[in-house]
Amino acid sequence: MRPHRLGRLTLLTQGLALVGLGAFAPACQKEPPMVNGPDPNLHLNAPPTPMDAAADPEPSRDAAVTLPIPSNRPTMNAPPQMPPPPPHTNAPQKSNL
Amino acid sequence: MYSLKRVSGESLSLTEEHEAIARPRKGEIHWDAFDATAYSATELDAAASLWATRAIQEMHSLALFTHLASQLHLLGAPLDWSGAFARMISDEVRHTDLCLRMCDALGRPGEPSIDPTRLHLLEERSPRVHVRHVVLSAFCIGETISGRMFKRALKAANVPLAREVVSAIVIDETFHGELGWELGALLMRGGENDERATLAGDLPKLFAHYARLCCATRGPSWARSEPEVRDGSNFGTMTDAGYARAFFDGMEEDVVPGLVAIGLPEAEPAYRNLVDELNARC
Repeated sequence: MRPHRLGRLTLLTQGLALVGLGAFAPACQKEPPMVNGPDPNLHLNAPPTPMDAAADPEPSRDAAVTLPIPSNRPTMNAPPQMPPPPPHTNAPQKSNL
Repeated sequence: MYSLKRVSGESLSLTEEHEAIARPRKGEIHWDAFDATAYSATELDAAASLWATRAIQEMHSLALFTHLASQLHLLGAPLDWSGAFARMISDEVRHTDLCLRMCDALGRPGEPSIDPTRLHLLEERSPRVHVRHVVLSAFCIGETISGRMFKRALKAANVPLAREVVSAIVIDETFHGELGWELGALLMRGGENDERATLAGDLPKLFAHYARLCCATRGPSWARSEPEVRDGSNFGTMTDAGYARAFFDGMEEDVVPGLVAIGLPEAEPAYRNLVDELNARC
């Protein structure tokens, strides 16, 4: 690796972090519910989620797009329920021999 | 375990799109021009075995990078990281496909077995620690050395079809090396000291892991004193010493200086210790 490239890499390590902690970061305080705006949790590609039938027995017209299924069974688009992942060494196999 | 099939077996739009992705970014591969009868069965068997192994390794990379890309979305990475990963993933699809087609062309079609439990997709650490670790190992070390190996394999290949296939892979590997080091450097920004210390502490194990994968069972003097390739028809393969030499050269010229530059000076003593251990085996 040439010196100018090494110098550039060193410079790249300086500055503001571009990634956060992800799901392990402390949860942000929840925003108050939007009164007039669209529900940001509803979108076309979201898998259906179980609904609380007691709280909202009649689904609205908007909700028809992502109609929740009142069941805990896996749906066609939802990932299967997986057991907890086993530990592993985290060493990727890559050599292209 | 599952068998890796190249295509679904029907006339499908998804297969057409796959074929489009799998074409080389530059140049063309003349599959039909290859005459397998010009080579001995032993040569073809050896070449097919190597390319089937490469197919498995490329499939591992594909699985790993796809998983990594989805984790970046959880960490709030800028969108251009996603774009770069989209290319990276399509490159690995291409490489896996090329390796399987190479086996077909050699008259030894196969469906290599993939063990999903060895794809290294599951991780207990936090996403950021995991992403840093994978970028450091799979990109900064793995892709850097792999790029060197393919460049040497291209130099060694004297069978025209093998030259075209290896050349298509080399073009992509150049980008992978660039991306890996940029990501590695950017990921060193911020973060906790213990995360950096964890990375530094992992280096000896990672170096030893890649040394094993690259047949570096002895020290650099051995690797540099043996022939890199065998005489005769060459399908893009090297001797064990040839692979090991690519490892040592890559470590000394790229990986170790690069790691030091991004803030991991522990790479130097870790590499020195590895070489001492390997020399002691001679």
